Amino acid sequence: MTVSESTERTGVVSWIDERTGLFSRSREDIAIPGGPRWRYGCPAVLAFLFALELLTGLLLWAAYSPSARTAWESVFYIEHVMVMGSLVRGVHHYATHAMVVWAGLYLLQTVWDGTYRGKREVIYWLGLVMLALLFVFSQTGYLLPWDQRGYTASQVATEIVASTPVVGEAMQRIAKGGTDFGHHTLTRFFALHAGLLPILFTILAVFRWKLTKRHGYGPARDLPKQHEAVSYWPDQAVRDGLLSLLTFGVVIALAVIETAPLGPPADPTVSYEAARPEWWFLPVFRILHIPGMDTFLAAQGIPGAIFGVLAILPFIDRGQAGRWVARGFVGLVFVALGGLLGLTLYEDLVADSESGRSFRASYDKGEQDANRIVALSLSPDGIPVDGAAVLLRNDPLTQGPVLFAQYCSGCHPYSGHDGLGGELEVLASAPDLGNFGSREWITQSLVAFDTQFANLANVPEESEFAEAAATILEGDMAYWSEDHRDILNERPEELSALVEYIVAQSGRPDVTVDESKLTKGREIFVDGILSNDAELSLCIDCHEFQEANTFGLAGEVLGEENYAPILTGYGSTAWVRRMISDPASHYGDNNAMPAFASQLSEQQINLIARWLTGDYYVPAQ
Amino acid sequence: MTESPDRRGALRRAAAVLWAAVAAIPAGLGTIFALDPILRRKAATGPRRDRVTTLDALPEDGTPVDFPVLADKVDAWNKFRKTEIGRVWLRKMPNGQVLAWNARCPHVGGLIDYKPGADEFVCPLHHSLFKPDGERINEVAPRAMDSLDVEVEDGVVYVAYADFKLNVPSKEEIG
Repeated sequence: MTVSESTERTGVVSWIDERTGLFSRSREDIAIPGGPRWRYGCPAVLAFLFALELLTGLLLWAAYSPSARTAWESVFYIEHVMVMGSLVRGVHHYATHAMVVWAGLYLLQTVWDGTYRGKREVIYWLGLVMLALLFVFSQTGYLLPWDQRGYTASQVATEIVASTPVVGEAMQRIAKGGTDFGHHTLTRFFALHAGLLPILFTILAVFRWKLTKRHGYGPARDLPKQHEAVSYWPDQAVRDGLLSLLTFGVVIALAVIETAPLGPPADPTVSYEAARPEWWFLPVFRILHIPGMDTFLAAQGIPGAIFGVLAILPFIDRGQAGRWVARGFVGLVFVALGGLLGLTLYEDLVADSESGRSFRASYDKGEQDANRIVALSLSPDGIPVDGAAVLLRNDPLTQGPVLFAQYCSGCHPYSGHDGLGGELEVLASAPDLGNFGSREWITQSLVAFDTQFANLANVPEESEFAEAAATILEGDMAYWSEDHRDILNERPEELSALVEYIVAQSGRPDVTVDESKLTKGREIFVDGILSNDAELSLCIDCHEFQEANTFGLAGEVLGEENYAPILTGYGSTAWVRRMISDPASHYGDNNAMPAFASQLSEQQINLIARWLTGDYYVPAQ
Repeated sequence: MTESPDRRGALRRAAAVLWAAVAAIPAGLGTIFALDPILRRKAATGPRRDRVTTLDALPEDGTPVDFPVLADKVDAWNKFRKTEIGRVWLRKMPNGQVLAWNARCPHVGGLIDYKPGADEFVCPLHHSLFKPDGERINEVAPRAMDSLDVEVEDGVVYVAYADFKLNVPSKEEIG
């Protein structure tokens, strides 16, 4: 056959073939018992997917930097800046998903057809070892982006390693490169993922291929004793090629539609409850989360036992009864795994339970942070040498709401919620700060002071601030507002000019001041003269005030030190900072808010103030 | 199996095409990704103005002095603040004018030295020699030292730092 095939060819192909046998060998080597079948396609598709992983892995390697300060950053760069980066990474990611699916199908096909019979046990065992290696591959790769997901999930994975009796802690330390997660955890995981594992996997694959050539494809059970064998090329090759191409198409589609996830950068000081392993580990994850479950039993004992039984299936699978024991066992395992997977997904994504809600909230927050850190990293300031986690830690838009929810929402609502979108735990006893410092806020303060500050009525009587709160509600500003409400409401243009002048004092970066209104606004502010002989009593009669020196304003001192809150720079970051750290410095004897200077760091106060005043990076549209 | 030769031929071609596609598509995508440095160019930036030193720091007698240039530098995902991006030679002329050269030798990029006694620039790598005005003395380097634009404002010396292609006769900026 070789001879006749070769002589058909001419030129270069024949020249190469005569010297290497490259073109004729493959056809005579493997015979398919009983003719080609779609379900024999598993190993070819898996081989293709592994080759795809090697290729994309090597490409990613050329752009990846394994250290705690550069891993997330380099993956971000691949994903969001490099040409085709997102696609290459997506293919690398989803090809693993495809490999797990095809490995599962392969196992089912092997046991259903009993192809481990006829001296093929070692081939089968090699397959099982490669399946286990695939899991290690995916788990080590999960950490490499150094995002909250991978970081948190890998902590669990190394705890599982540590649960091994006697040698566990030593193994954990070896894997982590020390006692803590850090640079050496990444370098070691990377060496495993991109070095040791591919080498081992390739050696096993070659060995397995040799053995398959020695024993031939395992015939399906339904074939008669006497069946003819058909050469692999081209009948089975067409099927395998088509299955590979289809699989590749699905992988590419997934990579484009749902890009490979990249969570916010790892930060051990930020809790991340939404950490989950990849879906194929979810059954183990679920068992681990049974109350009182032993880590070693759940994550090593049970999976180890399953692999153990799988390994001895070739010996159990004898005769009619044995066949159904083998098929039944594998079927049961898959049903159990599927059930646990479904249960976990249901609990996380659908169930209206406390843990389900908390998972979804944490997941959404993670998504939000992930989007935000990408925007910050793409900003002209780029990523500092200290890494991207620092950007997020110093970002008012990210940290402001968290701090607000923790320290402020006990009294202040933020647009009706606690800052993070959660429900308020107590009755609000201070103004809603959702629109603080905006035109709306200032207008309300002028013409509807009583509604703006109505929450103060909820300050409990026993509170040290009860008296001050009552004083504010019945104080001069409340009267001023009541007195001038109608006058101002009847003159919307003049009210708007006055409001514009006050808004301009804050210098907030997110507010575009209408400068054409400022002259008019300043006149009203200083003189109190309105159209049709109406008149205002002046703000500066009670408030200390030095106007801003921006937008062509003079920066003049207009109101001397007085009993009412200081209006200088009202609504600016500095004003709010001072309000948070020492509100009495604004409100004097009428202060109804605790000072936070001793509770919060300057940095934390600054983050809250900057968030409330819109003082943070916003990407240009 | 009993099959017509036509069908076998078609099958063979189909198999070959399928496997060629399975191999070629990933290889093509990978090649594009690997060509990222060529396909993606840095966004054009405005003219540079790098603060180097003060006018006082330059000797009145015209002796060249070398300084590091510190500037913000983007390296892939990182933005480094005020980091060393190169070295320049500065020389104050009798008329108060300041001359500046990139300290990299246009030959293969060695850092050029100055020999005060001989009053000439010399590159330690292949001994290319330049006069104090940057012109060549020998033929080792393909061109004169790379002069840079200088601005002096309020006693501060600013240089428009740039790197140039090495070992070519003409002065071409790398960008």
